[in-house]
Amino acid sequence: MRQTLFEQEKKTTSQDPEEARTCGRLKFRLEQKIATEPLAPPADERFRAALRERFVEGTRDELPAGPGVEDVLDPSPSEARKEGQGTAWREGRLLRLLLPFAAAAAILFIAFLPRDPTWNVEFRGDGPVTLDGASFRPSENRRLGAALSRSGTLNSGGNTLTLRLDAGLEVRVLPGTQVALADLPPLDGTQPIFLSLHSGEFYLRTTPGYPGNQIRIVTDLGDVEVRGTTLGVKRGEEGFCVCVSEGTVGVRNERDDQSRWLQVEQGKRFYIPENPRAAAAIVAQEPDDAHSDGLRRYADGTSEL
Amino acid sequence: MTDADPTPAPFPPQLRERLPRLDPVALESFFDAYFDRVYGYVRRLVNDEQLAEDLTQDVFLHIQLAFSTYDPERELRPWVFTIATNRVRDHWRSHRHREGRKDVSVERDAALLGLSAGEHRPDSDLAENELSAILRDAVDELPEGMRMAVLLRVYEGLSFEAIGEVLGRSEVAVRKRYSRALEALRAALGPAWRVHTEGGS
Repeated sequence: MRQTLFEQEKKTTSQDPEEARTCGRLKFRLEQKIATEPLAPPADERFRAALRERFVEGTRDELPAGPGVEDVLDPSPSEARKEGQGTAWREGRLLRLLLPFAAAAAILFIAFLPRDPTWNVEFRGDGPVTLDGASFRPSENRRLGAALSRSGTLNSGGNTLTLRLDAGLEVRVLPGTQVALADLPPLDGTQPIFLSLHSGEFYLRTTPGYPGNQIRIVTDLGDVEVRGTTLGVKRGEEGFCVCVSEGTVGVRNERDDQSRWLQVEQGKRFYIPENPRAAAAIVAQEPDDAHSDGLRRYADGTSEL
Repeated sequence: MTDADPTPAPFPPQLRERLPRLDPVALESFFDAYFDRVYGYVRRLVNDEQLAEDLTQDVFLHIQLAFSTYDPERELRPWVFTIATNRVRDHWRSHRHREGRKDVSVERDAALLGLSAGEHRPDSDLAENELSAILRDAVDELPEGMRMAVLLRVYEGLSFEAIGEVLGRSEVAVRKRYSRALEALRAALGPAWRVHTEGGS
């Protein structure tokens, strides 16, 4: 039977210090030999550059002035006249006659252009809320909605906010909640929508017609994957909790070394305690607490907003 | 991700403190410091270029979201590799990765070796290349947990305690796992390793 060097090492370690040193050196040389091999072939440079740009630029507050911005900003007719281009306006009545039609066509074209999805925001409370430190009053809900379509961390303060996408997704953010939203992807069922809950709680539901983009809710204790359902997620001082009012969601415990996804069905909850030494994560019946009670009222439409 | 630097330089603490604020300079430095290492780790675990790109992108997206909850007092490397490990495990839970693994492994070997048919090499180089190929295959054939421990220990230079943090195991368990992995590698190398060590000593 073949005796491996490691078996020799185990036998000799406690007997002969010199032999033990030899085996230690051999172990070191094996590690060294592995380390001299390339870990993997290098990544494609285009992939690296694209991901780097997305990783760094995607987090900036301001939208970078994209290419072509200057091209859109044509000089106004008054400026054109100042520059001695008055002759352009005299080129004929035909142009003046066509101008209203051209403008109407442009308006219609713009009206039917596919638009980036934008959150509609409803406030309950006197505000303000903050998004990456910038403050928004209730009267600025449209501005907040537009700003939310890019990545940012929303702090609801003492307000309840209802964020809606026309495509059939609604998120109700309760007071005292801090949640980060990633850039909204196209709502075509392909890329996931990411929400990172730092603290507090929100309820979420999809309505018929939702295109099916997966929704991923990330917290430090656990993750949730949703496609179409109604649920509440809470990250409080005592831990992380997901309550499912309708449908089924996938949940994962970050402390689970196997990183298994569990299914949580309608009427159940998944709970991970803050204290790792407390009871293990559990799937159980929904408790009768403020979070689940609020979710019930949200789901049946009896809560305000 | 290369050979000569098994313990990469630590990420500067002053930049680490700026990561939760998503400071662009800190993010750029972070990306430049970690991209190759994360990509290499993921690619070595999944053995497929396209899949490694998808998973690496997923890892960095997750990191970007998680920065706001990152505690700068905490060491960055185990945190990053925990996220990468969890993403790969997510993938392994799906059935897709089992399919076609053999094909991509062959493809990868050819890419790593950089050899083409009929290429002439001196005998000593050939022996060294053979040993390298056997070693790479042996590492790739290790059970997933052992492979992760070996990659994190040898290429990242993580302590056993930190590897335990990444894999969700105790330090003692990781030490045992790592020793078993080295034992398995030595067994796989067999006489080739003996010749290599005797020749070098």
